[in-house]
Amino acid sequence: MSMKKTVIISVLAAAVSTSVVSAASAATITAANVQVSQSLVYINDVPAPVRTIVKDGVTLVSVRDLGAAAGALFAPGENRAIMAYINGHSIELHAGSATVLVDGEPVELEAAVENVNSSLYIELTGYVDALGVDSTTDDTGSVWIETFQKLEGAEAPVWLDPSTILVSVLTETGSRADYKVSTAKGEFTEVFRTETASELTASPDGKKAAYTDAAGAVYIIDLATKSTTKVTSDDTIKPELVWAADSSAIYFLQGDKGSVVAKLALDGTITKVLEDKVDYKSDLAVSTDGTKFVYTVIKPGAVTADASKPVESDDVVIDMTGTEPQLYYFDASVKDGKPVKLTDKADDKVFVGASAGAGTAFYVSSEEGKATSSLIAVSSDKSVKTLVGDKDVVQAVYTGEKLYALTATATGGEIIEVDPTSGTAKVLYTVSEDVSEIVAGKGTSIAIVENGQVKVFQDGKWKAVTK
Amino acid sequence: MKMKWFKTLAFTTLALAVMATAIPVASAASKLSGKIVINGSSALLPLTLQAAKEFKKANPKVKISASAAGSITGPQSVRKGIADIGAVDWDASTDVPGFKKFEGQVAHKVAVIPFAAVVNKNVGVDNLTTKQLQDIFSGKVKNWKDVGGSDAAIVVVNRAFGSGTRVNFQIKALNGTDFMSKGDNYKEVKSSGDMKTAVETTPNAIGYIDLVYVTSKMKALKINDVAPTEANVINGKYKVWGYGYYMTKGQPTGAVKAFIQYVQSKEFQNGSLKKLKFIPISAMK
Repeated sequence: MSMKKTVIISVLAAAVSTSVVSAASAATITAANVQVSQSLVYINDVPAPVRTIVKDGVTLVSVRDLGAAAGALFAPGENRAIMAYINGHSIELHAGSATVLVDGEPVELEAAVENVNSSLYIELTGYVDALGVDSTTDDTGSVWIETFQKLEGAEAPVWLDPSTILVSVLTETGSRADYKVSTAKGEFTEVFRTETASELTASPDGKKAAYTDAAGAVYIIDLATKSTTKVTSDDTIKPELVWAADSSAIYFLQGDKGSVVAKLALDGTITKVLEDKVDYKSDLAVSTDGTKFVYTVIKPGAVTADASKPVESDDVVIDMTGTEPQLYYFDASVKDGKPVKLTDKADDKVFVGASAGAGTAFYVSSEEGKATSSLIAVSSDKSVKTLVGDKDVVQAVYTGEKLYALTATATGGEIIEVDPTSGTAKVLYTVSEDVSEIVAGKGTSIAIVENGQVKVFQDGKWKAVTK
Repeated sequence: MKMKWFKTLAFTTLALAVMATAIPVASAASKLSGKIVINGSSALLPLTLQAAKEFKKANPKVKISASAAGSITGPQSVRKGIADIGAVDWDASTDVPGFKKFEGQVAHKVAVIPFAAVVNKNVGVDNLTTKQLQDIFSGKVKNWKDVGGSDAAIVVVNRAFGSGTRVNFQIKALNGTDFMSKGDNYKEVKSSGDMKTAVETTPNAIGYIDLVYVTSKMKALKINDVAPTEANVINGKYKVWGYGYYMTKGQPTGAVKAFIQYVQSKEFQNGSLKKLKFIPISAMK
């Protein structure tokens, strides 16, 4: 522990000594009855000594040691109460009572607050909860406490730059707020709030994001200034927006069936790139030069139904043959060129993406009856290569340069980096089974979503940047 | 430094945190598997396919196939045992005009679908009352001049029997009165796409269509002076809308249950469902 930290804690402890003494008349336990020990907790990554006692089998921690180290301010309250203030909340403690008031609301602790030699000791979990801060315990049993306020309920994380992630928070009423979150400390800033707009699609340079309103019009928001610009009032449905690599235009699928591939210049001009009357395109990926496209086509099943027969006869036949998604490649630079069907296997294809030049498409293949899913690459010449076939791939992310796969193992999961050219794969991280998603961006590190929290790898461990 | 007591206490805290942030996506090791077949409403098919694509990202071992041939084929397919989910534009567990309820099926609301009465651009009428709509679609009123328009024969375009849009329009716009079924100025079409084309290209035509399919080449009418807008549906002023339903044989389980829950989740309802211009079911509460 640094000298500076020691001094700060000493000063804070001195500042609260008056209020602690004022409560001393309540059933004080002397040090002769109870063993006071010194323990270390890590507060915002800095080790902090705290005094602890064990009372009736429950370990209690010094109110002022932990509170002061976490940044709480103390003051005497009414009826010999101790008031702690942190992160906009107040906590009222009474020696000898297992009830604390958090913002005036009673919260029951596992054990009563104890007064030992004029210092109050409190059960840790209840105290940490009351302080409204996050705590984790590492593999060695050490407790790490984060006092920074973090965004709660963040979803759909996307990297904007190497130190910033864009996330969304949904409410039950249907509104949504989007935030920029700093990966250093989890500080967050609201950039957009809406009742009706689609999710934000961030530009590759991380400076802008596009969205559609309820009518289908496209807007761009400057993520620094939060100003929005309407790019087009075109009211067709746009299921997917994809930015050009240089952030100068937006490609989109058009119509409720995603039938058309179109390009929206930022001056509002819309040009059709591909209109082949093939419905249900999705997973649009565009090459860096904007001329080549990879996408998925889903074919609905064929139904034969004779409406002239009575409803009760249930004269319906469904043929789902060939309804599995298939990948297509389209080179718009070829005059009168036609889309090329890259795949024809009856496997499910999810997490579809493409290389920067769109010359190679990637997808996670899930075959019926097969226990594991594989990461597959298919080139524009239809040659197929299995990139990860010996593990169960549950998600894949493509940054244009690298591929990352999340695999499920018997004990949890692994994050694997794959070189798309050589096919070489290496395990970057072993993660818990609670990791549901990996997030990667060009030139950024990896983020994960674990138990709903967005985490980044810092100082040798996964640190939560949202709550 | 080892502090086992901290670990126990901290574990409790973390467990609570997990419960509070639970969202309807699977973990890395999602164990859900199985095959889901969905058939029925063509209006709901884009929504179903989009939801299937997203659901499979969290549940890659679940295979979902979807098809459409009109609402009535949804609950028929479920009853016949050839589909797990029947997509239908009305609650098929209840009697509606033309169709008896499907016994033993459970209806799950998945979307709000507004419908609009639409006319060809050459029609000078902007608003009709419920009574005027009833008279036009029953064939009692045959000329636009009788409802405030110019002297021209009305061409009625109707959806074929079995259409969910037809059922909803009959219940909500016509208060259950019957359609005409023949005549020189009467057409029947089999899909929303055919309705769109017919109204756009037939002078003096009137029909009805999902609000989402209204184009600039046709005109959506006010009904009883209320415009067919999403806002008027949500604020209760515009009555011609219905829920889209997924029908299942009894209560769903396993992958089918999880898929329906995903479609009903706030993530999907306020995400892709809105982008496809449906209204979230929560908006009507």
